[in-house]
Amino acid sequence: MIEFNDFQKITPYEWEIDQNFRDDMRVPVRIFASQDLLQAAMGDNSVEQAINVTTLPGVVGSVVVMPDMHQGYGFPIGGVAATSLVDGVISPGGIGYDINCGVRLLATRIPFEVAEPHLKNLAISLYQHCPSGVGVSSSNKLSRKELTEVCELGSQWALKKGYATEMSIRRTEDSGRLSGADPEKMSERALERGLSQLGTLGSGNHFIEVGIVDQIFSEEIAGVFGLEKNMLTVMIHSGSRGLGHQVCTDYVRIFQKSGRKFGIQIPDRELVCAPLSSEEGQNYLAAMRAAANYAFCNRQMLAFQAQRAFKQVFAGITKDFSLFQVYDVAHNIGKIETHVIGNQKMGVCVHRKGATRAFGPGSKDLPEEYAKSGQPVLVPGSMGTSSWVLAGSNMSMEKSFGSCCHGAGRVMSRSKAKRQIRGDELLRSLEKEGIYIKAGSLPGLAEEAPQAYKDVDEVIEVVVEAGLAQKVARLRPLAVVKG
Amino acid sequence: MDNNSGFRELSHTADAALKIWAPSLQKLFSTALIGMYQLMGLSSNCEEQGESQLIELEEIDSESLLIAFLSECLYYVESKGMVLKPTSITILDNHLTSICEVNPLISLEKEIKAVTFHNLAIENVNQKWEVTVVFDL
Repeated sequence: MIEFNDFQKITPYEWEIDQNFRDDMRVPVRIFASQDLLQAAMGDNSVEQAINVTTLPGVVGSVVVMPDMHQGYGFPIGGVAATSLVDGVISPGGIGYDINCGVRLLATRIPFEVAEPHLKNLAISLYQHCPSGVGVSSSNKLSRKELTEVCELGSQWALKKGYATEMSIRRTEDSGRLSGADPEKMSERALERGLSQLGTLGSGNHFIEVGIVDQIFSEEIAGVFGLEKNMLTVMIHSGSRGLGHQVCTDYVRIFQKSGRKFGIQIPDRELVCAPLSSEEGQNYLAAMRAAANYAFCNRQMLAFQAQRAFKQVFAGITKDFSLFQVYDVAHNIGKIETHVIGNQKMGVCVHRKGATRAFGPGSKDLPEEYAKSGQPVLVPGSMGTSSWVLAGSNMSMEKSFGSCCHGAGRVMSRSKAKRQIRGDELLRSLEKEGIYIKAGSLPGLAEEAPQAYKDVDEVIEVVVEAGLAQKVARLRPLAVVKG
Repeated sequence: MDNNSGFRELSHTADAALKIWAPSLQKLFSTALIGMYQLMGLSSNCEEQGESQLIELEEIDSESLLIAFLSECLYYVESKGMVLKPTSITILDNHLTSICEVNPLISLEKEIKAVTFHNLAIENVNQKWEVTVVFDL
């Protein structure tokens, strides 16, 4: 049982659990949180899950946890762990079943006053153009050859087909394509599930949110990102759909068997892993990258379909109804990166499970236009509350393997949310606040009520005060499409 | 289900957890499946007797077998729009054989991404089998 006294206060926003807290820990746990958020997080098993992650072979530095942390399965949500490429492991559960679940932000030059009378129609049109909900499939089924190309090329497949622009590719993490992807390392089942789901949103916490730039905190960086006060934005939250779920399911199962071969002891079977240098580890890495590429392309297709919805609603009303990309980030992913650990540069596999990359100014992995500002860090709120655009900092490279928070973070279980909140009442109360909702399921909407999440503004204060990122702009929701 | 078997949902911040109990390992598996289907808000067309499907799985232990069995049934729902209902389950030396009736899916309220191994342990105390399964939503 972890007590509050077990934490060492490093700063008001950083807390540490010493490596000696439990015999099997290999590194400390470093949590970014205010005292209130930390004490709230102790209400579930997220801290214990973070401690479990420190037992992974080859884990280096600290296991880092973001202020939007909450209990997951194996890894806590909001957890970041780096493992050495030499003697470390890769854990599929540390990346998650929704491989490369992530967020894309699009900006517009449509002022709020022009859009306001059409927001309801916009929500309906987005709902019609972007298939969403449980078990939804796309009207355009891919051929097997096309699917293989999508998994190899990611968003760049969409560019080839005319569904993307050079700018949208450039402004996607890793240009929307992870190299080293190998669709042949995915099972037949994973491929089968990918054939009919490209360009679909899915259900659960996935959404498309139309917002407005409500407040600017850095005029200079907002200008670089293409964000202007009072202009409409579109945020898309989705991932690799059934294909990604199947890849993770397959490899967790394979690793259960191979774990015995490698003699790896873990405190929770969902942390099952394989050495990065092993054939099993390399096979998973190649399959995970292929699924990540599918997810990048999925969000690209959703953006293309969202553009069609904007055209349907705003053509003839305003001249410029184009959507242009600010950035696209992954928050469930495993990346091979170089970080400084103990004054030494080291190649590591960074597991980000509900954490966003937040590379700072000067990073060679950013597009030229973001070289001085750092990358956009996209942090969605909770349907009725603000979303945030931050800029990554170099401090994040020192403190958190170049990572930041990914959202508000749940605080209430789905079943409790459904018991306490009625979907139809929530819908009406959000409409009263001027937020139009188009949802496939009212009980599903209730599960995702703003009350089920932490205060995103409090989460943002922590990452900013800890120096992981800086505030650029706040977005206010106007219309939300939920699966 | 009978009086000696059942399931109940446990609190979980983001996902879903079911505690399942039964008087035998086979019954634990079939009860877990009923629980998973209920969590998904699933309904299927059972008006006509569906075709039979043989499921055979081999894993390293009972826990892995349970996850493989539930994952297999989840795959049929998510990918084929079909619902497997076991008419028999045999488990011997980490090998499962199940004959299932296959019915078309009518509706589904909730998507389950995966069945996880999180803190998974099947316990057998005085012929009462218990397990808690966490589902990724």
